[in-house]
Amino acid sequence: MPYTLRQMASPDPNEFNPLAGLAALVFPGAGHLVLGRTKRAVLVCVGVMGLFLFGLLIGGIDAIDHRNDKVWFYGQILVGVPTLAVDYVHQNHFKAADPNNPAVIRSGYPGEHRVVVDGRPVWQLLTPEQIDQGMGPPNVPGLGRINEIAMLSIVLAGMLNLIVFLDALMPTPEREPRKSGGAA
Amino acid sequence: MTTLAYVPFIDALPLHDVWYLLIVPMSIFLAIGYKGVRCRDLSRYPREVVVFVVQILGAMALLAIGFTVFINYIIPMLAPMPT
Repeated sequence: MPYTLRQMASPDPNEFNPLAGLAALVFPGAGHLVLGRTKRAVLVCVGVMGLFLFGLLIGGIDAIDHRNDKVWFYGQILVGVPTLAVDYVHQNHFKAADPNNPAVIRSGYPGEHRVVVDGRPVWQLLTPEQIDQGMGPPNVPGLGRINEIAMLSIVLAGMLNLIVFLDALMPTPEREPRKSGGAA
Repeated sequence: MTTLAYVPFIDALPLHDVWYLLIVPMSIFLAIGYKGVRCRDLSRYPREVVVFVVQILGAMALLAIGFTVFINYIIPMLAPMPT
Protein backbone atom coordinates (compact mmCIF):
# COMPACT_ATOMS: atom_id res chain seq x y z
CA MET A 1 0.00 0.00 0.00
CA PRO A 2 1.62 3.32 -0.99
CA TYR A 3 2.24 5.87 1.75
CA THR A 4 1.23 9.51 1.43
CA LEU A 5 3.81 12.27 1.96
CA ARG A 6 2.14 13.13 5.25
CA GLN A 7 2.39 9.55 6.52
CA MET A 8 6.06 9.35 5.59
CA ALA A 9 6.85 12.76 7.05
CA SER A 10 4.82 12.58 10.18
CA PRO A 11 3.86 9.18 11.50
CA ASP A 12 3.15 10.91 14.80
CA PRO A 13 2.83 14.71 14.68
CA ASN A 14 4.13 15.02 18.24
CA GLU A 15 7.58 13.56 17.60
CA PHE A 16 10.81 15.14 16.41
CA ASN A 17 10.29 15.74 12.69
CA PRO A 18 13.35 16.88 10.70
CA LEU A 19 11.49 16.93 7.36
CA ALA A 20 8.93 19.37 8.75
CA GLY A 21 11.76 21.48 10.19
CA LEU A 22 13.54 21.55 6.84
CA ALA A 23 10.32 22.49 5.04
CA ALA A 24 9.74 25.32 7.54
CA LEU A 25 13.17 26.70 6.73
CA VAL A 26 12.54 26.55 2.99
CA PHE A 27 9.22 28.40 3.01
CA PRO A 28 7.15 29.79 5.91
CA GLY A 29 4.29 27.47 6.78
CA ALA A 30 5.56 24.52 4.74
CA GLY A 31 6.65 22.71 7.91
CA HIS A 32 3.16 22.75 9.38
CA LEU A 33 1.79 21.69 6.01
CA VAL A 34 4.03 18.62 6.17
CA LEU A 35 2.72 17.96 9.68
CA GLY A 36 -0.83 18.07 8.33
CA ARG A 37 -1.70 21.20 10.29
CA THR A 38 -3.06 23.09 7.31
CA LYS A 39 -4.84 25.87 9.20
CA ARG A 40 -1.77 26.72 11.25
CA ALA A 41 0.34 26.58 8.10
CA VAL A 42 -1.86 29.19 6.43
CA LEU A 43 -1.85 31.44 9.51
CA VAL A 44 1.92 31.21 9.86
CA CYS A 45 2.42 31.89 6.16
CA VAL A 46 0.18 34.96 6.32
CA GLY A 47 2.06 36.27 9.38
CA VAL A 48 5.62 35.68 8.17
CA MET A 49 5.05 36.59 4.52
CA GLY A 50 2.93 39.56 5.59
CA LEU A 51 5.86 40.98 7.56
CA PHE A 52 8.22 40.12 4.72
CA LEU A 53 6.11 41.76 1.99
CA PHE A 54 5.30 44.74 4.20
CA GLY A 55 9.02 45.38 4.63
CA LEU A 56 9.54 45.14 0.88
CA LEU A 57 6.55 47.41 0.24
CA ILE A 58 7.78 50.27 2.42
CA GLY A 59 11.53 49.89 1.88
CA GLY A 60 11.67 48.54 -1.66
CA ILE A 61 13.97 45.83 -2.87
CA ASP A 62 16.89 47.64 -1.21
CA ALA A 63 15.63 46.38 2.18
CA ILE A 64 17.37 43.05 1.48
CA ASP A 65 21.04 43.39 0.68
CA HIS A 66 23.61 40.83 1.80
CA ARG A 67 26.50 43.10 0.75
CA ASN A 68 25.60 46.41 2.38
CA ASP A 69 23.39 45.24 5.26
CA LYS A 70 25.12 42.01 6.22
CA VAL A 71 24.08 41.89 9.89
CA TRP A 72 20.42 42.57 9.03
CA PHE A 73 20.66 39.88 6.34
CA TYR A 74 21.60 37.25 8.94
CA GLY A 75 18.16 37.77 10.52
CA GLN A 76 16.36 38.10 7.20
CA ILE A 77 17.76 34.82 5.84
CA LEU A 78 15.65 32.94 8.44
CA VAL A 79 12.61 33.58 6.21
CA GLY A 80 14.16 31.11 3.77
CA VAL A 81 13.91 30.99 -0.01
CA PRO A 82 11.97 34.30 -0.38
CA THR A 83 14.89 36.24 1.11
CA LEU A 84 17.44 34.46 -1.08
CA ALA A 85 15.34 35.06 -4.20
CA VAL A 86 14.86 38.78 -3.53
CA ASP A 87 18.54 39.23 -2.69
CA TYR A 88 19.54 37.44 -5.90
CA VAL A 89 17.33 39.70 -8.00
CA HIS A 90 18.56 42.78 -6.14
CA GLN A 91 22.24 41.95 -6.61
CA ASN A 92 21.94 40.88 -10.26
CA HIS A 93 19.33 43.21 -11.71
CA PHE A 94 19.44 46.40 -9.65
CA LYS A 95 23.13 46.88 -8.84
CA ALA A 96 26.05 47.72 -11.08
CA ALA A 97 29.72 48.67 -10.94
CA ASP A 98 30.85 52.14 -9.97
CA PRO A 99 32.23 53.84 -13.13
CA ASN A 100 35.23 55.22 -11.20
CA ASN A 101 35.95 52.05 -9.26
CA PRO A 102 34.70 48.95 -11.11
CA ALA A 103 35.43 46.72 -8.13
CA VAL A 104 32.65 48.44 -6.16
CA ILE A 105 29.16 47.07 -6.86
CA ARG A 106 26.51 49.47 -5.61
CA SER A 107 22.99 50.81 -6.03
CA GLY A 108 22.40 53.66 -8.45
CA TYR A 109 22.46 57.33 -7.52
CA PRO A 110 19.97 59.86 -8.87
CA GLY A 111 21.24 60.97 -12.29
CA GLU A 112 22.61 57.54 -13.22
CA HIS A 113 21.23 54.66 -15.19
CA ARG A 114 22.25 51.04 -15.52
CA VAL A 115 23.87 49.92 -18.78
CA VAL A 116 25.56 46.65 -19.66
CA VAL A 117 29.04 47.06 -21.13
CA ASP A 118 30.86 43.91 -22.26
CA GLY A 119 28.40 41.78 -20.32
CA ARG A 120 28.99 43.71 -17.10
CA PRO A 121 26.47 46.19 -15.63
CA VAL A 122 27.90 49.67 -15.01
CA TRP A 123 26.37 52.95 -13.81
CA GLN A 124 26.43 55.65 -16.45
CA LEU A 125 25.79 59.34 -15.85
CA LEU A 126 22.70 60.76 -17.51
CA THR A 127 22.54 64.01 -19.40
CA PRO A 128 20.15 66.72 -18.10
CA GLU A 129 17.87 66.00 -21.07
CA GLN A 130 17.67 62.32 -20.16
CA ILE A 131 16.91 63.20 -16.52
CA ASP A 132 14.15 65.54 -17.72
CA GLN A 133 12.72 62.62 -19.69
CA GLY A 134 12.36 60.71 -16.41
CA MET A 135 15.32 58.36 -16.74
CA GLY A 136 17.12 57.19 -13.63
CA PRO A 137 18.30 54.17 -11.66
CA PRO A 138 16.02 51.08 -11.68
CA ASN A 139 14.96 51.53 -8.05
CA VAL A 140 14.66 54.24 -5.42
CA PRO A 141 16.31 52.96 -2.21
CA GLY A 142 14.81 53.64 1.19
CA LEU A 143 16.65 56.10 3.38
CA GLY A 144 16.92 56.72 7.10
CA ARG A 145 14.16 55.54 9.37
CA ILE A 146 12.01 54.04 6.59
CA ASN A 147 14.90 51.85 5.49
CA GLU A 148 15.50 50.74 9.09
CA ILE A 149 11.81 49.90 9.66
CA ALA A 150 11.65 47.98 6.38
CA MET A 151 14.73 45.91 7.28
CA LEU A 152 13.38 45.42 10.81
CA SER A 153 10.07 44.13 9.46
CA ILE A 154 11.86 41.48 7.39
CA VAL A 155 14.11 40.56 10.32
CA LEU A 156 10.98 40.16 12.47
CA ALA A 157 9.63 37.85 9.76
CA GLY A 158 12.85 35.82 10.05
CA MET A 159 12.68 35.67 13.85
CA LEU A 160 9.03 34.62 13.67
CA ASN A 161 9.92 31.90 11.19
CA LEU A 162 12.57 30.66 13.63
CA ILE A 163 9.81 30.08 16.20
CA VAL A 164 7.73 28.41 13.49
CA PHE A 165 10.70 26.22 12.52
CA LEU A 166 11.17 25.06 16.13
CA ASP A 167 7.47 24.30 16.44
CA ALA A 168 7.50 22.29 13.21
CA LEU A 169 10.68 20.46 14.23
CA MET A 170 9.39 19.52 17.67
CA PRO A 171 5.59 19.82 17.61
CA THR A 172 4.01 19.71 21.03
CA PRO A 173 0.88 17.63 21.56
CA GLU A 174 -1.10 20.06 23.69
CA ARG A 175 -1.14 22.75 21.00
CA GLU A 176 -3.43 20.77 18.74
CA PRO A 177 -5.83 18.74 20.88
CA ARG A 178 -6.88 15.48 19.36
CA LYS A 179 -10.51 15.14 18.42
CA SER A 180 -12.33 12.61 20.58
CA GLY A 181 -15.01 10.31 19.33
CA GLY A 182 -13.51 9.86 15.88
CA ALA A 183 -12.93 6.62 14.02
CA ALA A 184 -10.20 4.45 15.52
CA MET B 1 15.69 53.01 -20.33
CA THR B 2 14.39 53.18 -16.78
CA THR B 3 11.86 55.80 -15.76
CA LEU B 4 11.34 57.11 -12.26
CA ALA B 5 7.73 55.98 -11.75
CA TYR B 6 6.97 54.32 -8.43
CA VAL B 7 7.06 50.51 -8.61
CA PRO B 8 5.62 48.62 -5.60
CA PHE B 9 8.09 46.33 -3.79
CA ILE B 10 10.95 47.83 -5.82
CA ASP B 11 10.95 51.47 -4.76
CA ALA B 12 10.73 52.74 -1.20
CA LEU B 13 7.59 54.54 -0.06
CA PRO B 14 7.97 58.14 1.19
CA LEU B 15 6.44 57.56 4.64
CA HIS B 16 8.89 59.58 6.73
CA ASP B 17 6.12 61.68 8.32
CA VAL B 18 4.06 58.70 9.47
CA TRP B 19 6.82 56.24 10.36
CA TYR B 20 5.41 55.63 13.85
CA LEU B 21 2.15 54.29 12.38
CA LEU B 22 4.03 51.47 10.64
CA ILE B 23 4.11 49.58 13.95
CA VAL B 24 0.38 48.85 13.59
CA PRO B 25 0.50 46.55 10.51
CA MET B 26 3.78 45.07 11.75
CA SER B 27 2.25 44.11 15.09
CA ILE B 28 -0.85 42.69 13.36
CA PHE B 29 1.21 40.42 11.09
CA LEU B 30 3.42 39.44 14.03
CA ALA B 31 0.38 38.49 16.10
CA ILE B 32 -1.18 36.53 13.23
CA GLY B 33 1.99 34.44 12.76
CA TYR B 34 2.91 34.05 16.43
CA LYS B 35 -0.56 33.05 17.59
CA GLY B 36 -0.80 30.69 14.62
CA VAL B 37 1.88 28.65 16.38
CA ARG B 38 1.33 29.38 20.06
CA CYS B 39 -2.46 29.45 20.31
CA ARG B 40 -3.50 26.11 21.81
CA ASP B 41 -7.16 26.25 20.84
CA LEU B 42 -7.72 27.74 17.39
CA SER B 43 -11.33 28.59 18.26
CA ARG B 44 -9.85 31.30 20.52
CA TYR B 45 -7.40 32.44 17.84
CA PRO B 46 -9.05 35.74 16.73
CA ARG B 47 -9.43 36.93 20.33
CA GLU B 48 -5.83 36.04 21.19
CA VAL B 49 -4.56 37.89 18.10
CA VAL B 50 -6.47 41.04 19.05
CA VAL B 51 -5.26 40.85 22.66
CA PHE B 52 -1.64 40.37 21.51
CA VAL B 53 -1.83 43.36 19.13
CA VAL B 54 -3.24 45.53 21.91
CA GLN B 55 -0.51 44.33 24.27
CA ILE B 56 2.24 45.20 21.77
CA LEU B 57 0.81 48.64 20.97
CA GLY B 58 0.10 49.36 24.63
CA ALA B 59 3.60 48.38 25.70
CA MET B 60 5.15 50.52 22.96
CA ALA B 61 2.95 53.48 23.90
CA LEU B 62 3.94 53.12 27.57
CA LEU B 63 7.62 52.94 26.59
CA ALA B 64 7.23 56.08 24.49
CA ILE B 65 5.52 57.92 27.37
CA GLY B 66 8.16 56.71 29.83
CA PHE B 67 11.07 57.82 27.67
CA THR B 68 9.41 61.17 26.96
CA VAL B 69 8.96 61.85 30.67
CA PHE B 70 12.48 60.65 31.45
CA ILE B 71 14.19 62.75 28.78
CA ASN B 72 12.05 65.90 28.97
CA TYR B 73 11.45 66.12 32.74
CA ILE B 74 13.65 63.83 34.84
CA ILE B 75 16.99 64.41 33.14
CA PRO B 76 16.59 68.24 33.24
CA MET B 77 15.81 67.91 36.96
CA LEU B 78 18.86 65.74 37.62
CA ALA B 79 21.25 67.72 35.44
CA PRO B 80 19.87 71.21 34.79
CA MET B 81 21.39 73.07 31.87
CA PRO B 82 23.17 76.31 32.81
CA THR B 83 21.16 79.33 31.69
